[in-house]
Amino acid sequence: MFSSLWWRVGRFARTSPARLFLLAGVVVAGALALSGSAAPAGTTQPIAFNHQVMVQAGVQCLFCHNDALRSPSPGMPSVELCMGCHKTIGAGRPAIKQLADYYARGEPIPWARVNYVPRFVYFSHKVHLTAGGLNCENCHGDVGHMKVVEPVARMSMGWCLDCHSKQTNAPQLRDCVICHR
Amino acid sequence: MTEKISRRDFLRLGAAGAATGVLAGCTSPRRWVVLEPFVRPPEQQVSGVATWFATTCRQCPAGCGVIVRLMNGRAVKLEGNPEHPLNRGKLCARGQAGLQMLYHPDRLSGPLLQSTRGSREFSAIDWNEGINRLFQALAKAGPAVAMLGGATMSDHLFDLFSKLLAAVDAPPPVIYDLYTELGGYRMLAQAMGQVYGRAALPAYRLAEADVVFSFGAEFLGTWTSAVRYGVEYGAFRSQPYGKRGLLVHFEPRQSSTAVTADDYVAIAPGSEGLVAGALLRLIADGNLGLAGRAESARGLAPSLDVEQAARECGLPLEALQRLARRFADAEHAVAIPGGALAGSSNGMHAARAIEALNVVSGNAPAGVNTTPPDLGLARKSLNAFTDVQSLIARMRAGEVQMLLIHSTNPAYELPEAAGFLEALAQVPLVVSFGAMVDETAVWSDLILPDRSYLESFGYEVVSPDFGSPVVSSQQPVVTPVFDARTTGDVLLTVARGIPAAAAAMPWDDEVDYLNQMVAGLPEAAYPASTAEEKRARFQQHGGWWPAPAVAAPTLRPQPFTVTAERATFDGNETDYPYFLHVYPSVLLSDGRGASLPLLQGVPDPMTTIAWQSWVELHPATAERLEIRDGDLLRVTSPHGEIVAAAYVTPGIRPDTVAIPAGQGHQDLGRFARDRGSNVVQLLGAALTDEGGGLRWNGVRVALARTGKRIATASLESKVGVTEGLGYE
Amino acid sequence: MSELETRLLDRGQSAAAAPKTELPSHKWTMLIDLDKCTGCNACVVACHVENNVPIRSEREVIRGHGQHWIRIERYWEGEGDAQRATFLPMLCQQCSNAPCEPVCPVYASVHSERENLNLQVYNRCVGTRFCGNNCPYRARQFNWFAPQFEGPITEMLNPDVTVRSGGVMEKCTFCVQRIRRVEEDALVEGRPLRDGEMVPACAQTCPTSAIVFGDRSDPQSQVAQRLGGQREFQVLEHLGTAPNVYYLKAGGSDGGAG
Repeated sequence: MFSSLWWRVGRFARTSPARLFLLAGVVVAGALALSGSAAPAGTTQPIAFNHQVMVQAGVQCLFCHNDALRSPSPGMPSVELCMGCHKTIGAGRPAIKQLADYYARGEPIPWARVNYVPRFVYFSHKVHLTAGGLNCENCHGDVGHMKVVEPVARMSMGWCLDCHSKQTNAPQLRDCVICHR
Repeated sequence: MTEKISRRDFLRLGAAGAATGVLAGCTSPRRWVVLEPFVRPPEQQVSGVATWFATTCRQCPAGCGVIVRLMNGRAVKLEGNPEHPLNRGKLCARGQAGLQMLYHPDRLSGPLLQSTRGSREFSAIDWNEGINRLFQALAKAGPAVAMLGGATMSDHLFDLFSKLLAAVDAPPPVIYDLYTELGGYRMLAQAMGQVYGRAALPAYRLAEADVVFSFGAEFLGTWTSAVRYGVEYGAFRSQPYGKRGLLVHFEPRQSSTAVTADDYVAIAPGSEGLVAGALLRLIADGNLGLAGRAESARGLAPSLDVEQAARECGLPLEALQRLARRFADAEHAVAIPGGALAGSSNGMHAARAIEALNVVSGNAPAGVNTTPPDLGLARKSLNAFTDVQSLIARMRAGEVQMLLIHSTNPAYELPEAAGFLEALAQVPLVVSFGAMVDETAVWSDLILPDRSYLESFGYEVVSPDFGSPVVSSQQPVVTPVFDARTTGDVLLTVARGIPAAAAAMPWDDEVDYLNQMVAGLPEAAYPASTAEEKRARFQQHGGWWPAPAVAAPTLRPQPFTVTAERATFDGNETDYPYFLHVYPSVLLSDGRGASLPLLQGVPDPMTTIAWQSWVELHPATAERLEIRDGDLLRVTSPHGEIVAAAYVTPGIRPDTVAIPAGQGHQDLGRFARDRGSNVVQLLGAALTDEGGGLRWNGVRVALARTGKRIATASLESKVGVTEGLGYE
Repeated sequence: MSELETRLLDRGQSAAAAPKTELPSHKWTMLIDLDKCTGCNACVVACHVENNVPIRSEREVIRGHGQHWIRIERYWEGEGDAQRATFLPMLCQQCSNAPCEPVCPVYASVHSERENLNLQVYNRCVGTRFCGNNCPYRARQFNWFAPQFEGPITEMLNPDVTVRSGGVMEKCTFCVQRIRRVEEDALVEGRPLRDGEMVPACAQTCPTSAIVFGDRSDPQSQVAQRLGGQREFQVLEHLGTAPNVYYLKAGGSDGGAG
């Protein structure tokens, strides 16, 4: 069990406090790198969807995520919505061909979720975008400049409370019932 | 620092580092949660926001309007349709459980063939083959086809079946099930025909009544239109100026309706008519009540000795006199004949006696005393048990080549003495349209599963209507989950191949049929300027009903006689000491609810037992026979025996035991199978004196301990009900 | 900006620039008229469907692990053969002075001042069951085992309500998901809530309208108008839990037969 490698690492760490802290730092840095606290490499999507191209073409967030102002859920654009433009636009490109294949097969595109709150948390896009006075970039970052969507923050309770606490009605927005059901 | 770090400190720091790494490395599930959008979203769909569709509940024959809440294309909640004139936005427990009929894991997906009846070995075939088999058999059998259906079959489907059978010169469908038998639907309609000249299911308006005498009518349970009666009852208890009405309930057992009554009278089984007759006699002889009432009573009261009648019913004479006075003095007095009457030998006599009380008080029931508009719509009418016996006789004689079965379960619901299963052996082809394999499907050859009511088009003429005619609409609220097909479409497909049928049923599919029907309806309460708008609004509002108008009563009572007949019972008092009181379970109804966990797992209101069946008996009986709660008893009648767990309760007469219908299934899915007992096994096939009904409330039983016990699955304390309640 | 240099813009600043309206407070109150309750169990089934409350198996019910957020309790009154059953719908009383709140070691059972509700935060619950122990109404239901929703029955789960796992305590929330939804709609539309707009599943389905629900801080509401009558009582009042569920005695104005 105690191989000579571990013994050597242990000896290295015990030679001086500086080396011990170096070792601890390597472990912690590795943990942080693996965790969500840092922006990780982009999650692999079934189709290499590039928001930057869309925004540069003038497509607003709400064009595709069209339920955000009227529903807690922002809405994932249906394959039919994509095909509305892409039947002709960029029809030859490999990514568009993939899209057309999904539509032809009648299959939904299995996008991998990037921005996420746990299932026991209830977040309403409608309220945050209307009464809350926020816009998409405030939480999702500069998606218009992302080739591959990455989360810009781990959407933890502390992160939400951070903003909630700065509002004029902060005591009410810190009530558990606001998000937990 | 030059001192070395100790081993302990190193381990602490190392552990802290490792822990940080592990905890932080518990990556969020986002890497493997998939977000699937629609391919082609429905037009009205907004993700995360509910869409509502109106349709009709088919958990019982009443026809309440429901609205279904859909989230992302899934049906997640049923509510009463607030616009529907019958149930006014309310819904009962059975209605609320309807989603589990839609999403049941044991629903069939595709037609099945069974090579040997009863083997439960099914082989799947595709729909084309299934429909083709049906068509071939129908074309061959012609007039030798028979159909047995139930009361929850929608009227449009009844129409399609009727037309198809008529086209091949076969007899019309026989509509009979245990639900309507236990509710006395047909018997009551017949009695109304004798009293008012119009045979229709009565509906009693309670909302403005002063005094209501309910003769075994569990109108707050499952009887006729439980939700609407609930609405009426709520209004009955909160009338203007603090008036709350007086409800008196007569029944051998404390049902939930009995519990809510102000006065509960534990009458002897089968004596409802006797009580009514005695009340009439007292009103007549004592000149009781408001002007004209005594005179009216004199014309109707049977000749009987009131003192003797009181003794036989189990009531003190003073109580009868008090009740007679109360009824006669009330401005708005209503008497309700209940379902229990149907099962008694003297049921029709009793129904007439009870309705005579309404004639005396001048209150004819809604749905009977007004002539409904002739909408020209096909409506199913219920058949008597004798009609079922005729069908069985024809089957036994080999006159039936093909039997079609839809929304009824005769193998479970009919007593063995009726001989259904034996006769079935003489029918070469039996086709079941059930959505799940039930006891009758197990004895079928071909199963063509129908869709659930939440996935079907149709219409149902509401019966009883409480003075306002309603044609309730049905539409699919979700894309069908299983590979089932609506029986209506199957029939229309088959009809195309039979020339006479194709002529009588020229519609492409059920939607086409429905659209034509709607086009023929008169103006509704809601505006609709074009034919297309009319069709759309029919679905959107949940049906058709006219603008509210006070319908003038058009029918007057005809001359009829009231006689006081005693009820007869199978079995003598010595060998079978107890009357058997059979009743439909509030949750399981006649057994159809047993497949749904939402109904099985909810405690029965009177016993708080879930998932099980039981026999209710009085503490004196328990003491005499040394029975405790949970003891397994052998309940024997002259016709059969079952084993049931004892439940000791003060809510039953000492000379009676009560067993609810609904359990004891061998099929009908994983939640219904192999639990409890089927009380129908105790019944014979004797008929009532009049009307050709099944005498299910006319059996005596004996109890014997088996020596075994089960643990009772009840909400209440296991210690038992009677300890500390004055029976020691 | 390069994709690796995306940074979170200061959300707090931009959002705080638009001052927020004070969210309205409510005193959610339920009134149950026992004169109208028929024990039909429509409320029980409706609650199960609305709140994803699992149906427990026969074996679990035998062990006393039946799970209902609202249940119909049947009592016997009277002596001997004159006994009559009565029904009492029992659910979480949303006590203003809740005994379940101070005993939770992880703050899973907390109070909302604004909504005047007792909340259960599922993700914090570690299953000590102290809260359930302390509740005099036995309103709190514990998930002894993970709920089993078989096959297509998962399709009917309400997405607005968390599906609880094993080891977590749960109870009636006065359909807080419905409360939040109507509040959000009212907030976005810039109007106050109307009486009758918020109705929990049990009250909505009750055929006799025995269950009435509303905000008693609104004097025009149905509940406020019906409170304070002769028939009114609360269950286990003497314990000082200050429940927000009121009952009206069955029978006439004096509690006897009409």
